[in-house]
Formats: sequence, structure tokens, C-alpha cells
Amino acid sequence: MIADKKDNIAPKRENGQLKEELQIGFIGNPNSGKTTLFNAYTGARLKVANWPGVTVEKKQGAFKYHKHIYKLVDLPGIYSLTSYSIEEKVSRQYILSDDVDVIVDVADASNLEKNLYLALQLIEIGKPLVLALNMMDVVEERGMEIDTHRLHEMLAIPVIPVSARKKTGLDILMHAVSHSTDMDLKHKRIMVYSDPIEDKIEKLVQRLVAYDPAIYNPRFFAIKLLEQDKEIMETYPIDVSDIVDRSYETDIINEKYDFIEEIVEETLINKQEKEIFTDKVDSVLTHRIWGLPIFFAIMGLVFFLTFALGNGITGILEQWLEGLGSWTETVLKDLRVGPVITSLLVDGIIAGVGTIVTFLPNITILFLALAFLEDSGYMARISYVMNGLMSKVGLSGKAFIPMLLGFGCTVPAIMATRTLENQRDRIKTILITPFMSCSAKIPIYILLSGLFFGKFAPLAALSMYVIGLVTGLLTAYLVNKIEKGMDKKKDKGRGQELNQLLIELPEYKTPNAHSIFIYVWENVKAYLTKAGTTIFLASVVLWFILRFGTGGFVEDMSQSFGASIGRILVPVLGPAGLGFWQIGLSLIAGLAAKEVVVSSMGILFGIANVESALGLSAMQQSLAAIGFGALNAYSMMIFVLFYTPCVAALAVIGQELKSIKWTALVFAFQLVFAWLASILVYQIVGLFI
Amino acid sequence: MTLKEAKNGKLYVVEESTIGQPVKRRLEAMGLIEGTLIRKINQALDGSIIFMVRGNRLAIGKELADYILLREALDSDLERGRRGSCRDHGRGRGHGRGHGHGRGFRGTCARGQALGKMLDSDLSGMEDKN
Repeated sequence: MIADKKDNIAPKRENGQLKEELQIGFIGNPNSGKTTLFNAYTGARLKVANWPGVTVEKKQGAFKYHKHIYKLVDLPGIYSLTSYSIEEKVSRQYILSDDVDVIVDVADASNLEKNLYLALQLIEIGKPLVLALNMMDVVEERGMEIDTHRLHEMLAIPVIPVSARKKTGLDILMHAVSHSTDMDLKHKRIMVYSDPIEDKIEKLVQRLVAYDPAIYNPRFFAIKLLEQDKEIMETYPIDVSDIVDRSYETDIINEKYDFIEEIVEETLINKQEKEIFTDKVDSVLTHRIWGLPIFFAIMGLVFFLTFALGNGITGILEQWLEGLGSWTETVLKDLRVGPVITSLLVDGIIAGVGTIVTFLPNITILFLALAFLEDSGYMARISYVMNGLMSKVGLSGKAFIPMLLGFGCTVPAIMATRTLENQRDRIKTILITPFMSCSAKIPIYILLSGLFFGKFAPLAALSMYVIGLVTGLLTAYLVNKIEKGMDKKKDKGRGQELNQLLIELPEYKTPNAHSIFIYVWENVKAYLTKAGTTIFLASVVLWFILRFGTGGFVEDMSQSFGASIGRILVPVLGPAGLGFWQIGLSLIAGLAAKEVVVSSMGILFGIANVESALGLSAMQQSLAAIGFGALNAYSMMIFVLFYTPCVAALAVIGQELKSIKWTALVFAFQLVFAWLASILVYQIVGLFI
Repeated sequence: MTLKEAKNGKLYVVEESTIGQPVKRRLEAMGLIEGTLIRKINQALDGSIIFMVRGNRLAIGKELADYILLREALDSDLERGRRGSCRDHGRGRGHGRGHGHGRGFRGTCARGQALGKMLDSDLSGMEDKN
């Protein structure tokens, strides 16, 4: 009955020998620790956090174990093999492709019941499969026990207890994987359905084999046909209407869960509900009334720490940098290096790159705070407490997760929109996420507010976050209104439920020091790398165009090429109070990376360290000399808040929207919006002072 | 009653879910199917709800909550849970069809015991305090 012929999804062998290289796919429910396990094997430092949907892209890595090369693929978490959101499609496509030799189902052993549903479906595919029972350390902590021997008997696949966090059981898991390549699950009946369903499966198997004698696992496809899976129905366009008179999906799910209950009953010993801690924390953090104010208070604290505390620590770096500048100048003088090179090093590179480095404490604190929010388990709750507000602007609370990540960096934030099921919601969220001030804008806010707002500086900086958030929400609201207007003309039959909140809330846990370290370090490293590459290059280029004019090397920067470029923008930026060639030039430079706005001002005003007291007053004098005051500064902050995200963010927007037209539209929208908003602020506030 | 009308901290049995596809399918994959015991945990001002189903702690929007119909968990549900006895599923298991592996392990019904475990956690102090 069942064809023995192997087609392309059978395990790969070369000349009867096991391949030297094995492709292993890590799959499992969201937040079951696939990425932690992946990191443990490959030494990679992919981001891990305690909320479902951290991994949205398939990531690959390799390591050598005994004679084999193991190629690991980390996949986005899924609940079932039906395709619902983008990340689910990514995972399902990969698992069903012929690229994978062995599937490792990474299950959260501390929550066996919900993780077994996917396991049963994977078993039905019939490919070599190993069940990794992750988080066994948590299971032990809670005084639970899992009879892995019995579990193996019931599921007929290797069951290996591991702890990705404690790095236990890793060798045994790979050992099991290497011995599972020619596992034959197709001929085993692990999940047996009730008689009526089994009868239908049997009939469908006959039809499928008649249609395609080489079919790999007709039972799997028969079950999918019973579920009326669209993709499979297209792959096998045979008439089965006499057998499949309706979708049997719910029946099949029901019976799977019946079996899961049996498994849990027989294998889980001393099941303890350790959810009480989470319930207690949730009764405060997700409180009916206090949930939202608490969230705003937490975010207020995060930004207060970023600006107030960060500036305190900065002092050490400033002194060090000032020393470096003058030391370099003396050394170069002693070495009789020409003034042009000295100027490039001191006025160009140290002034440009050095300026950026002094903001490191602020950036570190912000990412530390975000890491805490993400690793504690609070992140998913934010989408619940914000759902009311978000649904007023036509988005689900889930869309707030990318927005919040946007306070760190726009690039991963845009990627995180993949967890949103509704395409329109995704586009809207991608449109407004850049309004959430990313960490690269922090130096600009600190610099300008520090220059002009004295003791109100943190307040001025904080106002940027509030204005950005409110504008983002208003934009979503307006887009939603326009959409609704258009929908009324068309038919209304689209799945309204799709943009409804549906998210799993993980258990709270004490943030893991290692995960937090990785998170913060990777971001700090990225910031420093940017200082060493993009900002370094931009500084050199800026120094050149500011020190050279039509007549060669110039002492007076206003005679330089740079000044000529900046002057083009003067009439455009004039109404916004930004009609200065220096400002125009630094805003253009800021397209490369937002930090460059600050580094270029450092070069423009010849100050090695704009954050020191001396640097600040010198810069203030230079700015005052050209007529740039507090209102101009605020207008500039507004402009920077809204204007086009950096090149990297634009690239990822392009990649996610898959449309040059839309990307160009986002680019133009943000540029025009920034221009109008800064004009508005400058003109209206100008009336009152 | 709908999930929205249910009380925090109490146990209910899912009677019907009339949510449209594909969201319904997603919820079913997470274990929200007819006859399943769920525990409502929290409800926000806007009507969003947190509830527990089969070890999944889920947050859903109010429009979805409107389409999940429940009945109160009866003493018999709870009693059955405590005893760990089997509920009549009303369907055969296909005994004697000769499918081989796995067949021998399908003796008991465990749904009741699973209910019992949820019940114990329910009794451990999570009554609604609102």
C-alpha cells in the first residue's frame, strides 16, 4: 500500500554511506529555547529573550562533532504546521523541503502538554525526528519528573532531555541526531485516530498512491487533505469530495489533544503548577486599571535613567577623550607632521568619532533596560496593556512590540513586524516605527538639549519620545480612517479578526545575566563598529569637504565645498529656523547614520568633545554667533526625530515591504513630514517668544 | 456565556468557538477546543482578556473573546477531574485494526486528570479579588 520509493524528501545518503554533513532543523513552539540551544552549539550570539517571536528569520550555523559536520538551522517558532503568519511560513517551508536531514523538535519540557501538539504533527510528516526536551533544569527546579523512557515508547522517536541554558545533554542530543538519519517513521502508527477518521485516511491514501505512486508519505498528505489544507490540495488536485465532505481539521485537533492528555498522564510525574508566581506579578503589572500607568512609569524611568544617569557616567570618557585630542596634537607636532594631517586626525577623526563614543554610557543604559524588559517576560504583557490604546488607532497591541524595539534600533524593530499576521497592520507599523526615536538619535537630543535647555534638558529630550509616540499613533489612526473609507466602497468580507490581539504570555523569570550581557554587548559592539566605520568614514569625508574649497586647503570652512553643499538647503530649511549651511550639511550627513549629525557638528565647530563643559560653552558661543538659539535647537530636534531613517533602516524597510515604490514613499513621507513639523514648531512657538 | 462575561479566577469549559478562520485554527492549535477547561485570569478595561488553556497563558482582544462561548465548570467536571476518571468521548479508538505500534498504550483517558490539575491550581489561591 505505502510506496517504498524514496523521493526527494527521503534522508540523503551517498553511495550507501551516511553523509559527512548533516542538515539539522531546529523547530518548536515559540519561546521554547531553540535559539539558546542553537547558540550553545554554534557559539553564535543570536538574540534570545523571553517573549514569543524573537526569531523571525531562519539562521544557519555549523559545528564539527566527531567526524560529522553539523549544519544547524534555527527556525522561527510555530504552534502548528498550518501557515498563519510569515514566520510560520518560513518554518513550514523549510521543514517540508528536502534540505533537512534530521528535524529536532525543541520542546519546553516544563510545559509538555502544549509542546506535544507540534511534536505529533512533526511525527506525521515521517522525516527523521528527535525530540529535545529543553529546560529540564526548570522541570527539576519545580520538582517535576518526566518519564522520558515512556515518552519515547509512546512517540517512537528518540527523546533527549537537555538544558540549553545549563548546556547539559548537548552531546547526547547530537549523538541521537547522528543515529536518526535513516529513521523510518512513515510505517509506524503513532497517532491513531478514531475509526471514521482512519477509514477516510485509508481511502485517501489509496487515491494518493494511485495519483502519484512515488509519493513519500501518503498518510501525512491524506491527513492534510482531510484538513482541507489549501497548499496540499493544490499539490494533489484529485477529486476527494466523496470522502472529504467537510473539513475534519477540528476533529483531528481534538483527537490529537486527547492523545496528548494520555501521554502527559503517563509520563509527567508530580506536575506542579508553578504559575502562581506569574499570576501574582500579573495581578499588578497587567492590572485592569494600573497596568497602563505602570507601563508608562516604567518607560519614563527607562528614559530618565538613559539621560540623567547616562550623562553622569559620561564624565570619565570625556576626560579621556580630551586628553587624547591634546596628546595627539602634541605628539604630531613633535613628529613634525604637517598641519593638514594633524587637522585630519584631531579635527576630523577624533572630533567626529570621539564625539560619538562619549554617548556610549547612555546607549548602554538604554539597551540594558530594554534587555530587562524583554528577558523578564514583560514584553508580551506590554501588547496586552497597550491593546486598548492601539485598537483605537486600528492596530493590535502586538504591533507595539516592534514600536518599543524601535527605541533601541529601527532595523530589528522593522524585522519584528513579521510576527503581525495582517499585511496591512505590518505596513502601518513599518511606517510609524521610525517615529520611535532610535538610540542613534540620543546623542543629538543630549547635545542640543544640553546646549540650550539647562536643567530642563532631560525634559526636552524626553518630550521627543512623547511627540514621536503620539505622532506615530495619530498617523496610524489617520491611515486607518482612510482605509476604512476605502473599504466601505469595496466589500467588507476580509478577515476582521486578523488584527485582533492574540499572543502567548510567557512565565515571568529572573532575567538571565548571560542573555542580557549578550544583548547589551551586541548592541554596544554594533554602535562602536558604526563609530569605527560609517561615522569614521563620514568624518573623514566631512573633514575633506570642509577643509577644501575651489582654491585648495582652506582655513575658513565657509569657503569650503561643504559650505557650498550646505547652502543649497538654506532656503528650504529657513522657515524651520534651520537656515544655516552648517545645519543643512550635518542633516544631509545624518542620512548615513543619525549619529553623524552630532559628529559633523563636532567637526564643524572644531570641538573634540562636545559633551564636556568647555566644549559645550564653546559650541554654544559658535552657535549663538550664527544666530542659532533654543527655538532653533528644538526645531532641529523635531526635524531629526521625524526625518528619514538611516540607510540601514531604509534597506530593511525595502526588504520587508518588497516594493521600491512603497519604500520611496516612506522615504519621502518622512522627509516632508519632518520638514513640515519643524516649520510648524518654529513658526508657532516663535509667535509666543 | 462568552469569555468576556466570565469571572476572573474561575474555571470554565469551552462549549463553542465561533471565531473565523484562520484565527480559530491558531487557537485550536494552542489547545482551545470544545470540552477544554480554561481559567480566566484577567480582563483589561478595553475588554482584552488573559486566560489559561492547557498550560498556555494567552492574551486575546475583546472581539475574539466575544466569540468564545463557555459554560461554568460543573461539580461533575471538577469531581471527574479530582478522581481522574475517564470521560466518555463517544468515539472508538479503532481497536483491532492492526495499526501496530502505539496501540498498546492507549488504555486510559487522561482528560479528567488534566482537569484535576488545573483545578488544584485554581484552588491554590487565585480566586478573583476584584
